[in-house]
Amino acid sequence: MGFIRQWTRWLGWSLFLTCLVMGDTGFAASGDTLALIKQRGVLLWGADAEGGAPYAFPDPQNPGQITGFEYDLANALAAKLGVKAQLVQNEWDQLIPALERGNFDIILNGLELTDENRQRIAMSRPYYVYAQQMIVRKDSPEVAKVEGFKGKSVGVLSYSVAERIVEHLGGVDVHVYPGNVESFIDLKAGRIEAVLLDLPIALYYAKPDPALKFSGESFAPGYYGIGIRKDDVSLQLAINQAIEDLSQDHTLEKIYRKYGLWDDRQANLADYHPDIVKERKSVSTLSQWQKYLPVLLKGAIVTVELSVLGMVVAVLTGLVLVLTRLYTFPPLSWLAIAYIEIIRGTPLLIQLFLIYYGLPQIGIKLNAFFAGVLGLGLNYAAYEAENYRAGIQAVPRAQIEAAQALGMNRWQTLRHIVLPQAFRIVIPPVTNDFIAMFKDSSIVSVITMVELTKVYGMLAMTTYDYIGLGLMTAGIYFALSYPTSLFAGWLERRLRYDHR
Amino acid sequence: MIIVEKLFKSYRGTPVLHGIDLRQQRGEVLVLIGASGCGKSTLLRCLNQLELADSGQITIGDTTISGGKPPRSRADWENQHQLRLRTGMVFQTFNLFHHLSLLQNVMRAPCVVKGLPPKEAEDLARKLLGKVGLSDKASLYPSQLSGGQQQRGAIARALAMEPEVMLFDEPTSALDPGLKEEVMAVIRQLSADGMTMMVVTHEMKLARDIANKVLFLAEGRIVETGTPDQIFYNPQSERTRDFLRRGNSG
Repeated sequence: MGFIRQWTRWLGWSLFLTCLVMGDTGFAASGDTLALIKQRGVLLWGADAEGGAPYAFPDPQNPGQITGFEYDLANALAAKLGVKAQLVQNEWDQLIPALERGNFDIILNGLELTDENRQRIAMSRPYYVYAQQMIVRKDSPEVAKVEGFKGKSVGVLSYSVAERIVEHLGGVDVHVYPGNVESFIDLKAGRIEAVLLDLPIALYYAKPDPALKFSGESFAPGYYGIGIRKDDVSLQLAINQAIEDLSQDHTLEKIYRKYGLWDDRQANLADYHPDIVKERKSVSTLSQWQKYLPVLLKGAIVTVELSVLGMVVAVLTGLVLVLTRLYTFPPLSWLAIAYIEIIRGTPLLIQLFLIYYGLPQIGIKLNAFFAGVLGLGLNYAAYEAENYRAGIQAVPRAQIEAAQALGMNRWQTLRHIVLPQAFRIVIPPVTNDFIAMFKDSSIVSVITMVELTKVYGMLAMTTYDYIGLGLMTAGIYFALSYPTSLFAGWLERRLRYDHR
Repeated sequence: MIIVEKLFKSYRGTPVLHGIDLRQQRGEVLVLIGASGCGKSTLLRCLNQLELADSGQITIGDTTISGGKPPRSRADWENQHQLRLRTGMVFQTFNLFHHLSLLQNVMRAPCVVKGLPPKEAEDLARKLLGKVGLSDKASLYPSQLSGGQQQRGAIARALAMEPEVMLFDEPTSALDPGLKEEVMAVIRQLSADGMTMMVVTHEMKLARDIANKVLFLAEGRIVETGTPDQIFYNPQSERTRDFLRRGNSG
C-alpha cells in the first residue's frame, strides 16, 4: 500500500510538471490566434523542411536558408496579414497533433483537403490543385492506369493520398517512405517498380531525372489547403481572404511558375466548393481491442524478428570485436577500437540511412528487413564489445595464471576459463541491451519497415485514439521485454558458482 | 633435473633475483626460506614462466630456456609449453577455477591440453581426489569447500598433468592453523612417494620433515644452502641466524 501511495504521489507530481511545461508552449494557444499573430507580428507556420522540395526545403545553394513554393507563399500570406512569416520545423506526419498542441498557428505543407483532415481541424480554401502521378524507371514499360500496378511493388509517402489510393486498390505491395527523395532512390535501385505521389513532387524530382519517366496521365486531382485549429474562425476567414487576394493579383501564379508548378488546373482554384463535413469522433480502440490488437501483434512479430536477429548479429560481431581488441596486435586491434568508437559516437539513424540508401550507390542493395537487422546489429555490436571487455577484464588474473601453469595456451585459457566466467558477469548488461533493442527497433520505420511503433502511429492517425492504442502498444512492448529479464535472472541463478 | 644458472630478474629497476644458481636432483625436495620479498616466489614463478627472467638460464629435464626475451617463434612457445608441462604449480591462494566443480577442475587441463578422453580423465581425477582425501567432494564447487580442501584440490589438479616437478608457493600461508595440517600431510605423502618438489614455505616444521636441502634466500641471492639440520641447528651465516631467530619468535 505504502508503495502504491508513494507511486501515485510521484505520478501526480510528474503530471503536474508535465502540464506546467506543456502549458508554456501548448494549451495556452486557444483563443484568438489572429489577434495574437498581429500582436507578436509573426505568423508561425508548421512544415517539414526535411519532407523535401518543392514545398519547403533547405536551399541547395545556401543550406542555412529555406526555400520552396510554400516558403514564398507563407511570406506572401504573412505580408497580407501585415506580419512576418516564421517556419516551425515539425515531422510531417505529426503536423496535425502539433498544430492542435499549439506549436504553431497554421500548417502550410501540402496538407490535402480531405474529409479526414477537415473532420479533425479547420482548413482554408485551397491554394493549389495537385494530382497523383505515377513514375517508373526509363526502361520500364509504361503503365497507363494505377490498376496496372496490382501485384507489383509501389512506393508512396506515409499518410499521403497516394498511400490511401494504393491501399484501397488492394493487391499492391506498398512501400511507405518518410520523405520525397527516398522512394526515388529505391525506384532507381530496383527495390520497387513504381512510385505514386503528388504531381508537384514528381515535377520537381522525377521530370528532370533521365533515369525516370512519368507513367500515364496524372489523376485523382485534389487540393492543398492550410490547416488551422478548429476554434480559430477569425484566422480562417483572414487566411481565406488572403488566398483569394493572392490568386487575384497573380501572386500565386508567379510563385508556381517560379518552381515549374503552374498548370491549367491552378486557374480553376475558385471552383472548389467544400461540402459540410460531419464532426468525427475518435474511436475507442480499447473497447474494440479484438479488432486492433491483432493488427498491433502483427507489427510486434516484425519487432521481435528484428530485435532477435539484430541481437544475434550484435553478439557475434561484438565477440569478434572484443577478441580483436584484446588479443591481437596493432594495427588490427586499432581497427576494432576505431569501429567501436565511431559506431558509438554516431547516431543509429544515420547509420541506417547509410546502409539502406547509401550502400545501393556502391552497388549493394539490401531489402529493408536485412538493412534493419544489419543496422541494429552492427550498432549494438559496439556496445556488446564493451560489455564483453568489462566481463573479460573482471576475471581475476590468478585464474588465468592457474590455467597457464597447467599448460593451457592463450586460446584454451580464453575458451575454458575466461569466457565462461565472463559470460555470467555480462548477463545483466547484455539483457539490458536486448531489452533496449526491442524498443530501439522502432527506428527502422524510417527505412520503410512497418513494425509495432509504426503500426501504432498508423492506427492512431486514423482512429485518433492515441491513449487506448498507446496503452495496448506499451503493454505489448512490456510483455516482450519482461519475460526476457525473467529469463536472464533465471540464467544468472543457474550459472551461479558462488554458493556461499 | 633442475639447473638454474645466473638468473636475474628486476621489476622496474628494483632487482628481485640477483644471480640465482641452483641444482636439484630427481626425487629431491628443496625448501626455500627467507623473508617476504626476498625473491623466493619470483624464483618459482620464473621456473614455470609465469614471470620471464631478465637473463640467465633454466633447465628442467631436457628443456632449456634462456631469460631476456619473451617467446616469439613457434619454437619459443613450444619450449615454454614444455617447461610448463614439466612443472606443476600450487598457489598460495589455491586459484581453483570458480566456475567448475572440483572434479572438472582436475579433469579440464588433461582433457584440453593433453587431449585425454573424458572418461580416462575422470578416472584419473577421481583417483587423485581420493589420494588427497576429497573423493566425496568431487561434485562441489570451490566456494563450497574450506580453504584446506581447496588447496588439496589444487594439488590434485596440478598432479593430474603428471608433472616431473611440483612447485609449491607458500601453500599453507592463507590457511587457518587447523587447516594447515591437512595440506601439509598431503605434501609429506608426496615427498614420501619420491616426488621432486620445490617448496616455498614459512613452516619450519614442514621444512624439517620433507627437505633434502634448505635454501635461505635474502635480497635475491641464495645466502646459505644445507641440510635441514645444518640450516636450522647450525646456520653459518649471520643473516640466516637472524632470520631464524625472528621467524621462531614470531
